[in-house]
Amino acid sequence: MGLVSIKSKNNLSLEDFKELWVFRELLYFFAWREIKVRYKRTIIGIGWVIFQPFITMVVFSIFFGKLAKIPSDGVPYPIFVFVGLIFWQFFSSALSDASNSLVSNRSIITKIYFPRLILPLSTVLAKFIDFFAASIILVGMMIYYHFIPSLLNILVLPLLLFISFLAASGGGLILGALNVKYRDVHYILPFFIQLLLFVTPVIYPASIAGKYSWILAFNPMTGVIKAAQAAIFGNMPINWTLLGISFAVCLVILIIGLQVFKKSEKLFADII
Amino acid sequence: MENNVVIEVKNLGKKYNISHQNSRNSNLRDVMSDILSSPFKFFSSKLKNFIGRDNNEDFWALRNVNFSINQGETVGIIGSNGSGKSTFLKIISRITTPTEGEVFLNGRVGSLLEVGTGFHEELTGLENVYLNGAILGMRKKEISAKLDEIIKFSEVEKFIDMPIKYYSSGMRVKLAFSIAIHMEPDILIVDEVLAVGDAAFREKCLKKIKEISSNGKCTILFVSHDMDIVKNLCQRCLLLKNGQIEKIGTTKEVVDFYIDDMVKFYYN
Repeated sequence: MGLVSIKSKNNLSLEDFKELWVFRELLYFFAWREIKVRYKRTIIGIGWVIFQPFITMVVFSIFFGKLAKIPSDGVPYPIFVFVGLIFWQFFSSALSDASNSLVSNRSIITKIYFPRLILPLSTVLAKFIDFFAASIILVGMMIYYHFIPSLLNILVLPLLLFISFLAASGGGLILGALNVKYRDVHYILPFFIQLLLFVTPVIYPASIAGKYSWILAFNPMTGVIKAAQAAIFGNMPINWTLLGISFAVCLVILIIGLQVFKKSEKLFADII
Repeated sequence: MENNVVIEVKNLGKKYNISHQNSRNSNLRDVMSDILSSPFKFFSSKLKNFIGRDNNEDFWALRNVNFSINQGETVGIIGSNGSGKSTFLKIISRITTPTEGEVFLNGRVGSLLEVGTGFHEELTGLENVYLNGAILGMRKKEISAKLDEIIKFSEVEKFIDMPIKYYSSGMRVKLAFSIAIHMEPDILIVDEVLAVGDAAFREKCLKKIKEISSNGKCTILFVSHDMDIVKNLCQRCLLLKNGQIEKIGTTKEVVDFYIDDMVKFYYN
């Protein structure tokens, strides 16, 4: 590391990304800490990662699928809801953890310097493990229900995960920075995420929204989840326009998030 | 910047807002309770805020600070409580940003501001060595290469595979200090860390710091209230008072001036 100048800065610059690269190992270490610590002192340990989405799927299938008889575009309800769930859980848990990441690492922020961006980003990265673990169940269900998607459709899935990553990171950066100043975020967020689930086609197919479907389009996860369902079930073509809009919206959220974060970053250690 | 100047401080200043009781509306609950308990006062203070006559008072923790430090120097920073030492160190170690002015640093900064930050209770000593090392800015390869040395210096070999939460406070400090001291920074900031740990370990740490300072590569900023240690370690000293440089010069000169000043203050 060569010459460094310390002064009041407001805007995101190339330097920030270079620095992020220098500290890339810390990104990995924080993500590793997240995963390692989360299931310490539990009996089934990492098994919780598989257990949680599985139980959620079973409960949803019983109440929404069997009892409430919510339609699922002709696909068996358990696998229908599970596809939406794994993307939704990735997004919602990453968003909420990233929003709290700065406040919960208060003691490090006030004592040591490192690019603060690493904290929210590493919590989002740690959620990939949960996603991959849940995907194992999905593969099992695909075999059980005989849904074998084409290779091209499988290749779409990483793109969908990437869009979810952008959305969770962008939202996490904005809310995380706000949370430093206004702890209200911490209380509003779980409630907000719960409400957001209702405007995301996880429990019900987007098709039943009818003339209100435009409301769903505001939610960037709608495009992702609809595309995931289309790709895996093959019962309808992937809506590339909707997906394109989702991608653009998430990219904008991320850019705004980076800028908001950068602007408030210099005050973190003073006010947190 | 000249060739061997490692730290150059130009017109540095840091302003804090001291917000007073009745302008504390930083969360919704406070705002609500303020409106309910004294609506008039609340709105008049909002109005004052709006027209710019708020009850926030500016406080300059540091102002107009200028100096430079060459490579290999060990410089003591002294001053009474509230003189701006900690703010200065926080700026140098990039924890907080200055309000005005600029600092140029040439090299990697390692700060022993508060050792053991970032230790995670549930992780073992060994896992924490890697985590803490990474937070301090070390590469994984670097940590692995120095691992044996770090563990040996810390004197906690036997407990290295035990979660940190079962460590005594002395053991934590030893391990933390050992990690920090082995990162080989170009600029080392030491702030009162020697106040912890037992006498023997303290001696050992001082010896290590002296060893680092004597090889002439590492620049050390040393903050302490213990004038004997300052005299023992530092060639030059900087005396801060009310956020400004009161005196800068050889250690003997500055320390004597500081002690005289204190004696005058307390006995007059």
